[in-house]
Amino acid sequence: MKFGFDNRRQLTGADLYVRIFQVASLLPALYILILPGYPGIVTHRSVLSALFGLGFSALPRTETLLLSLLYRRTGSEILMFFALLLAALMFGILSKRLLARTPRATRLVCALLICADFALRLLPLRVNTAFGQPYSAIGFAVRVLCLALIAMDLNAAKQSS
Amino acid sequence: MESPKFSFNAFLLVVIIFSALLFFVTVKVMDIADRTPVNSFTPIEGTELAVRYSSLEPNGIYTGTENVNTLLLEGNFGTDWGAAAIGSKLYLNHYRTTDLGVLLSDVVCVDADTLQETVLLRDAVLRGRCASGELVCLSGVLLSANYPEENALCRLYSLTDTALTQSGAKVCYLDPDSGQLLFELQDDTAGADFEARFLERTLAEVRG
Repeated sequence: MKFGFDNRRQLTGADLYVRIFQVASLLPALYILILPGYPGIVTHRSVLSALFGLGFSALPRTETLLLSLLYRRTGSEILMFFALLLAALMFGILSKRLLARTPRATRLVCALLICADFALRLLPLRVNTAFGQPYSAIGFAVRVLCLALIAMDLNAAKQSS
Repeated sequence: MESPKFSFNAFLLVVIIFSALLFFVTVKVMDIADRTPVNSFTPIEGTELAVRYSSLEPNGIYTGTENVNTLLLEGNFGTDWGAAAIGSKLYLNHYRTTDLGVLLSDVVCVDADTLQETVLLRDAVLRGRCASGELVCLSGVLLSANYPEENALCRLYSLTDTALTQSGAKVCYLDPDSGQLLFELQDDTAGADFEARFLERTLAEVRG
């Protein structure tokens, strides 16, 4: 399946999944980036805090937990910021290489990871309610969309073969 | 035709590099994350020591008067929530912050003779002494100064700590001589009527 506005910029479902992951990583990073200049954003709810919650709800649960652990251990938002962005960058680079070499296997692994993430989201854990509604619902919907994109890619590849 | 996925990766790389420069300039060089001017000098009752919290001089435990004093132990100590001095042992709150300003607190014991600091409870606040003399602490609490209900970073910080909550906390009683934990109970009332319920009663009365 190809998506895009014109023939020059067509992305597969897997490409879109990677892009969604990377954009979700940028949303909390924006909050942390602006915080040194405007410390008042921590004292009230705002668009930035909404984007923060939305970003972490859309990211895989394991990554959210690891980032929280890193934050607690180091007490450094800046370190967490760079860990977040580096993870998004590494995921983008790795997925590009793997999708070029073994597209079907890579898509299957991505689908399995998303399914495992679904299983985690259904458990009654604090991480699944930390940022409240509607972020949890939106995060769940984003994972459904990602799984659908991967499934469409696999189906299209199966039909074309 | 260049792959759009790669160009987004390049965008991320550019963001990382410029963010590093931005944080270096703002947080390290210009220190703009620390901007609250304060200057408090609080004597510790029964001792010749005092806790200074100031943006003008190093924070810590001082000896002397407000105008003429000597720094003994540097650190962000606080007595505003509660403190105790028993012999040469000082029980205080030691405040620490994350890079960008989430305020955390540990209950520490400082030996005034050797200036050795021992952390008794992490992520806890010393409230004072109860009627029978034990130290009363709140463990697993996010300080209200962080606006924990609105602060997204507080939510992320407490995500991987099952004890750290925003409204509930454990009330811990410590032995003032050894600093050992004697008794603890869960309090989900966000510290309502704390003095009447815990500080003005003895440990035996609280245990019921």
